[in-house]
Amino acid sequence: MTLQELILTLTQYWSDRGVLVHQPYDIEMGAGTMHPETFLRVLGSEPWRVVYVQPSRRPADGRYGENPNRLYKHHQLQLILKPSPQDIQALYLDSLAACGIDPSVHDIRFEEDNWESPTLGAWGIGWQVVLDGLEISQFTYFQQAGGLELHPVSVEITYGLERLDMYLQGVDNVYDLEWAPGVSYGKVRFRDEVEGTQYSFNGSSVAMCRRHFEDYLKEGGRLLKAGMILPAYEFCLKSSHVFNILDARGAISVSERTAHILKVRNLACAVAAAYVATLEARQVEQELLRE
Amino acid sequence: MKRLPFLWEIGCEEIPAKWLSPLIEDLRDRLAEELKEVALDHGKLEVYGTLRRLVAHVPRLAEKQEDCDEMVIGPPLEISRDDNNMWTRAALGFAKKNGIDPKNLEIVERAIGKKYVGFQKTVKGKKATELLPQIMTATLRNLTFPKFMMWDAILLDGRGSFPFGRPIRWMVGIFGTKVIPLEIRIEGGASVKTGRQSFGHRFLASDQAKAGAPFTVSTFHSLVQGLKKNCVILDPLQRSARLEKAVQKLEKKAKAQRAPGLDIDLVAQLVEWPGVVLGTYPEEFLALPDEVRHTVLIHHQHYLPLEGKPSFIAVTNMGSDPHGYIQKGSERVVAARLRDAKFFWDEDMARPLEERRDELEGVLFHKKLGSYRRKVERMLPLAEWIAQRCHVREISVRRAIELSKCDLLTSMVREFPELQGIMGGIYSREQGECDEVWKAIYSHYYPLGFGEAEMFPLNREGVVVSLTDKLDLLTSMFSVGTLPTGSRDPFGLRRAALGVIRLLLESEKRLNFPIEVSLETLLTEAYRNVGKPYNEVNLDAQAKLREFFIERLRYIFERDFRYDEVNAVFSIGALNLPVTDLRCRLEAIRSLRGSENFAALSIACKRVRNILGEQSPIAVDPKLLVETEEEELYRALRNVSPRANLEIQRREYEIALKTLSTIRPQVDQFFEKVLVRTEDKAIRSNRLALLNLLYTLFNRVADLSEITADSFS
Repeated sequence: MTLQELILTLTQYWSDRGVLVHQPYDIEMGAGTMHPETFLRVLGSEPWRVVYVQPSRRPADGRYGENPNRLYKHHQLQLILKPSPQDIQALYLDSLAACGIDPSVHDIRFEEDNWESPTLGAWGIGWQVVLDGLEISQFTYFQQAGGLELHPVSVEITYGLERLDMYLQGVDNVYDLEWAPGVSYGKVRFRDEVEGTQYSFNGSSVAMCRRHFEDYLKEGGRLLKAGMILPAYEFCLKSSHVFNILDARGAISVSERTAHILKVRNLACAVAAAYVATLEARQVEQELLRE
Repeated sequence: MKRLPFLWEIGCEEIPAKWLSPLIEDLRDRLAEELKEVALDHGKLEVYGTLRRLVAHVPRLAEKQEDCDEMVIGPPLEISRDDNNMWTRAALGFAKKNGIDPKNLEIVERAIGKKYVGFQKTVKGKKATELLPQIMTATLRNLTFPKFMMWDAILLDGRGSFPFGRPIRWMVGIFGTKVIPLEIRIEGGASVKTGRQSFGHRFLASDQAKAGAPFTVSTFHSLVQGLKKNCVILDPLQRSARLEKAVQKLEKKAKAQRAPGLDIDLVAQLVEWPGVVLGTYPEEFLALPDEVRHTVLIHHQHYLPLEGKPSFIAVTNMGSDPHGYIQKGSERVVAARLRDAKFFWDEDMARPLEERRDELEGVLFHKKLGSYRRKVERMLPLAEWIAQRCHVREISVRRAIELSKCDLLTSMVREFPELQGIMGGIYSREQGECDEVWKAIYSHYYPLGFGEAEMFPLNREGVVVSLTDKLDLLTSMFSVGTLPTGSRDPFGLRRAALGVIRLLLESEKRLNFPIEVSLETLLTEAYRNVGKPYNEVNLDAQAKLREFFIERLRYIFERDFRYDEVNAVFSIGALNLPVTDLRCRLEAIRSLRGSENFAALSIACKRVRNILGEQSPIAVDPKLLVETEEEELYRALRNVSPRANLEIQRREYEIALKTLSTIRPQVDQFFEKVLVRTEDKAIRSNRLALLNLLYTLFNRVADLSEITADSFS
């Protein structure tokens, strides 16, 4: 199954089950969780079901295209179901079956792995799903986001697309994956990896990144005060990414690191609180109108 | 009393393997507690479980509570009977109200002279079927997990929201032949209710069953059989045994032994239907140190590495691997992970460890205490001081301290934090450091816990570095007010204090390296090193740390000794004697406390202590000893003390106590014949001085008056 077939199959599978198909967010981010369709939608009580692919950048994981497994940028297929259905594990396993994985001849396990994102003030309880020893998905019951307790609890399932497809295609090197018939992953992405890594480890301008980090945070705070919550969140995302670049560059000492994470987290938590306040205000308004 | 079997299965999403064994025991305790609470007799209570279910089975549970008699009290007797000894209206009214015949009324005396009318009432015991829903609800509520999760569930016990370890998806609850109704509501309308249906393995079933489909249960036996048909072994012991056998078979086949480090019982909790596959990886990775390969295999994959071969055993949940998919998959993952490790190894080895020393400036130890570089600077003089006191070569210790934290900056330790110390040791070995140095670095975090099999520093230098590291951690953290609270101890201070005590206690036995320095001396020196401004402004913290150490010492010693023995020794000083010395004294008391003389002397000490009170002692004046018995006691004390003192000096406490015991006849005679509180003031003071001499002599071993009399055996 080519990478694009895998994406289509999983998307179709969840679409058939009433899940809205969204698109990647157009700002750099480290994981699909940071997409507002996850981070903001899990807040509040309104039900929501969404699936999308998110290219995820991890500057420190770049290997100049030399490592067969580690990537500067990989792709996650992210699913959010809120509230979480009772038979969610079975639904997930069926999605694997739809990709051609016969669970009766493989070893599929749910192994404890609680997820935490210090920059988002978010954490959850769950597992990594392991297929014959290979971690293919993260399965998390969200407990908190932006420092707020979640009610109802959303389930987040993140498929690591490259890993899963390498397994399906039986290749040991990610660049040998077939992206589309006759077109390799290497052909599509190799150069991106090489130059992305060069940029992360050597090319970035530390002074500029430091400046941007502070500017983005400041701008985010200003926008939040002015009531523009979604734009404020975008600046939170930008600051998080620029922090990752600085970190990969080795420009941040361990002590600075904690302080920086805390700054991003404070903005994320403030965004979440403001977002929930508007949801509640809207709810009150609707109730008043009904009366 | 009729008895019936009770069966309860709680079907969950995958419970973390390391929680499972304690959780199964917790189910036993909590359920027993609830049954006891309502006095429902249960006899044997069996508990089992896999990662997807907890099962309790009570083969003979009482069908109902015992009936019990209860006295119902009515009006006082004076108003209940008239002069003719007939029941009054008050008494008759009471009988009528309770619906009983007045002839069943009795006279009850509640207190002396306080009499009432009353009658015996038999309270019918409630049926188990009525009680069980409540018992099960309370048990669910009380089960404890290392970490709870919210899953939108509500338990109908009036307390609402029901956090649990993982979501519950089905329940079987049968008493005799009846389903015991129990419901967990899920917000949004769904619910989980008890029934007769259970589920087996997610993906496997024998020929007679369909994988993943529910099956019907009537008894415990039918559950076990149903599970077996559906590829689940319910009993953890059976799973372990089966797994162990399969592993041994593969070891034979591979002609290699597994490396230690992975507990089969724990792995058996990861699966319901254990199987094994033998995998191999490219031989080039054998060049990586064992520690690295084993960390990848054991900690990250839960596989068993085979010693000396590029092979491993993977434990699976699938019984067998007919197509070889599982083997192939596990081999690919292992190769990829080892390739990563090799990348880190090559990268780290490209630079001498020593070069990273200055970079430790950027690694924060604590926000008030600065970087790891500062920590290393603090540790140097303390380590040198300890080395001098313990006759260890300072130059090796110094070198080991300088390099000890550099591995925090290596890629390998960033990727595998559990290899800290170990990697520092290995890299320094590869880069030419001598045995004394690299082994000390390698093992300077040990001992990590308190188990018997716990790793210990590999050499004397390692003991010194480990002691220094832990003492610095404790004194510096206490100085800035970072103390453990409740269950929160993020810097592992409790573990560090236990580690210090263990090093002091065991290094003689393990490394033939006795450490004759008291904790008091060590702490004072460590505080001197923490330096200004902390040690001066924070005397209170120092007192707290001393208290903290006494608590840990007590905890450790009370595993082997009785609390009063520990009191006896600690009251002459817990911190200012070497820890090994404390232990010797405790051993002496333990082995002697059964003897008759010892008991008598301990009682004598208690008497002496009471008589002496708070008086300040003076010297005995032999001329003022008037009675024969006091003279004899004095002579006996004079005779015995040089020998006893010598024995105490040699730490032969048991012999010393026996020597002291020989004066028991004189002590007994003294107390029998001599009156301490006599009129003559000078004689009285002199007698008190004599008793003080006796008490002081005994106290050179321990304060025997602390030994409780009732525990003489």
